[in-house]
Amino acid sequence: MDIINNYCNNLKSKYINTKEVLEQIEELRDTIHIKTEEYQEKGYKYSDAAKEAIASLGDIDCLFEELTTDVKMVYDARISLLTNILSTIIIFALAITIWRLSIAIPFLNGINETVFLGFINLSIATFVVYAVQFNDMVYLNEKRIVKNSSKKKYRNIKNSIMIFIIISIITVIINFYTTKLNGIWFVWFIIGVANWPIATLIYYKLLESNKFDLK
Amino acid sequence: MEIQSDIIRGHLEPIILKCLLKEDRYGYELSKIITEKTDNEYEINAQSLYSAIRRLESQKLLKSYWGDETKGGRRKYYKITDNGKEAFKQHIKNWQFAKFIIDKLLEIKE
Repeated sequence: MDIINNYCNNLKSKYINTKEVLEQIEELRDTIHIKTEEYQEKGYKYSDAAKEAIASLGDIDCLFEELTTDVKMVYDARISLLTNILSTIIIFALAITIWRLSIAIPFLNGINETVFLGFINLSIATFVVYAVQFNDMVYLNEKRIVKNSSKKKYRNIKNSIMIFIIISIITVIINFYTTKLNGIWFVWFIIGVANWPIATLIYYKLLESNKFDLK
Repeated sequence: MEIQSDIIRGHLEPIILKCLLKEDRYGYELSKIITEKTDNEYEINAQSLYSAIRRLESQKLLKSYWGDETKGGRRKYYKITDNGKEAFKQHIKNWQFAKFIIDKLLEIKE
């Protein structure tokens, strides 16, 4: 029993303990047990039977390497925090630029009229985006298993852009339906929601930089 | 006679689907069936078996669930999906066509 347990514990310590890895180890444990019994029926001693059963599995490292492709252990909360800081700087820099332009260019004066309300909208939108995206951030030293498959990355970026476009269209419609051209506040809200795709892109850039990987 | 493992490995996925057509089975049971069906000429190792199973799962051709009984580890059963049954039928057609062409090219007469 100890030989099999030791073998399985060794696999657990060797690979990142994702759900898939742990389930695979349980399956292998079951297989090794059955095979060990079969070898014992053929006359092997328990220890030899267990060793034979383990050897018969083949190159099991190959299997676990496949299971842990794109998986890594990172300080996820640190990535999230830096993402928040960087995206906030970008969003507010963008908002200030548009505000300055709205003062300088007469055509954009409508935007300047809503600047106070606009920055409140922008802050609310930014906060909502953070709350939805990073709601499970706990503490900075938290280590987390992250699967960064290109499929998942593409899906998250695509979704963030789609949400941005949909909310932007709805905001423009509400703006013109409720206040006509008297106050253009939708611009501020859209900048706030732009935080979503911007933060998503920054998050993946930081994740792929490997600077937050657990050493 | 030792069967060429590489050739068989290329067809492991439909072989696994075939084993699951009649009933759900767990990993070791699948490898045992394959060994028995080939009169002990071919034995699939766990690495090849589970890699093929993972590929089938990711393509949604089979799904898995945990069973109740255990011999020390938990036992996971595999079930073929409707897509899996379709994929198996398609593979049989592809195989028959490929065999027909290769037999002709190699001038093999049954």
